[in-house]
Amino acid sequence: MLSLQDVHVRRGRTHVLRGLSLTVGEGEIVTLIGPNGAGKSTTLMTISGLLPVSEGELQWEDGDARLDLARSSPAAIVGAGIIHCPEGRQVFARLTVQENLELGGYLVTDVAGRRRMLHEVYQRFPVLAERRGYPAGSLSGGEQMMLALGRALMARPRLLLLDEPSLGLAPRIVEEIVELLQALHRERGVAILLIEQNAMLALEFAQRGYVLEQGRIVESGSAAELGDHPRIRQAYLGVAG
Amino acid sequence: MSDYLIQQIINGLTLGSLYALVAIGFSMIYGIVRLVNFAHGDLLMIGAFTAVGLVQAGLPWPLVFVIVPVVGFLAGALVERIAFRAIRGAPMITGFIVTLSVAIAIQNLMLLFLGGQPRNFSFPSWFRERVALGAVEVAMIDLIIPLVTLILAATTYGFVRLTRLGKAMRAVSENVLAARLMGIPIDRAVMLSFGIGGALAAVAGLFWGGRYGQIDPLMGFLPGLKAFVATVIGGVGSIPGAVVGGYVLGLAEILVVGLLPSQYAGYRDVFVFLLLILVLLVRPHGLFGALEEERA
Repeated sequence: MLSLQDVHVRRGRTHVLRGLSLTVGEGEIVTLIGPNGAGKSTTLMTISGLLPVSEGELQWEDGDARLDLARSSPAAIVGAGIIHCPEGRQVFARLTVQENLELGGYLVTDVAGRRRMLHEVYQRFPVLAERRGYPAGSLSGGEQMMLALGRALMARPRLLLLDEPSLGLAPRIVEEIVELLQALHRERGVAILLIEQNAMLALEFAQRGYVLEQGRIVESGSAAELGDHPRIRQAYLGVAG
Repeated sequence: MSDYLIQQIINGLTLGSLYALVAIGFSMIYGIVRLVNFAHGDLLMIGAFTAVGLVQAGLPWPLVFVIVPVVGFLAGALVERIAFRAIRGAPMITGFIVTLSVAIAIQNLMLLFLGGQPRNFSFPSWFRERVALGAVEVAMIDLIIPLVTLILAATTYGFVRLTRLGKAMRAVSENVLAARLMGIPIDRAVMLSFGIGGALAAVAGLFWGGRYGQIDPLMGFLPGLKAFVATVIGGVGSIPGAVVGGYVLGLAEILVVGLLPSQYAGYRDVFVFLLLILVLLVRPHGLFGALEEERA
């Protein structure tokens, strides 16, 4: 579905991604773990067309639709169904919950479809329905995360790019978010590429994973394999040996 | 109330309307790209000159009223495309320098091509007819200006609050990154806010010329500065704030001139800027402004 081949990205003078390759299959949950500064967020921003690619291939295939992501605008990439939930949630704080959701479906031109989707989001996240008229900035962190997910859902994602969804949230809320994501994956077949500082959580949730260090993939495998890998256990899971 | 006082209040409302029209654009532009646009007042001047040109070319007045805002819209959007798009996201000081340069460039281009001689401008005579409003008589134009201003302000506000594109503009003004990730066309939203601001300023220029009778290439700068003051008084980024700020400023200015002994009338701008300082001392974010930190 998504494939990155030998991708290089420079930000200013820093060569951040140095030949990164990865794939995400149809309806798959894949996680990308690695230390701070390895280029995880850069990878997601590159996929969503926010950063120019200096070398390499980024291809998207969905049924008959194909898109060369390196040469597409962010809007075209959103239109293809690749929806990026950025780090820190980035809700529009002074706009109401409902306006945030409507903007999530900005590129969906079919009005009836947009209304159906709004209805579905309110069913999946009842707390958003309760607070639809309030400014998004008045929501708690967990509610804002749900709003960010709901907003992404409004764009009818085929692949969700999630950047640190658990950041700053209480464990109970994180559990709730994970359940919501699992339901989304199960019921809508949405593929997910997840960055998560909580590697334990990420490997529990994902089917497959990659370890990114200094702009390159250094390990990959099923979530279970990675979870048992001694070096990964030591570096990312805080388990000795 | 004496007729004199009522006439002064009406004058204040008229002047306030013109400040409000310019201030709305000022506020929208600051809201979306955090740019204090000192060239914004010059769109008022462009509106006034466009009106004079069209009238001289023999176009009927209703058509002039339609074309002037269209020209203002295009001029605003064009200035954005040529001068401001390249510096988007640059430090505020860069913005200051560039907007001042654009203002000076526009003024001097006009001086170069049209000369510095002030030109006369007059509305058709029925604009000046006096109509009875209860016990007092008011010139038609002094009713038309506030009425048109309020209609345009309400339309702009409704557009920004309720339409898909208006919501997209508010989204961009709040969080550019998130807006891009929804597929919102940032450049179009920014250009649109400059265009709307330009259209409103051009209408203000049309009224300004008709109300005060004379126009010249430098006429836009001081009203532009005062609209900036109105914006700050009302709270930068808020459309209702810009309107209220415009009226507060217009009324204050006229009442200072009208009620103080005549030897102080020449110092009207002193009182305008004194008012700004006073408001900022009491309410640093203006009457309607939100703390920038609250946007987190």
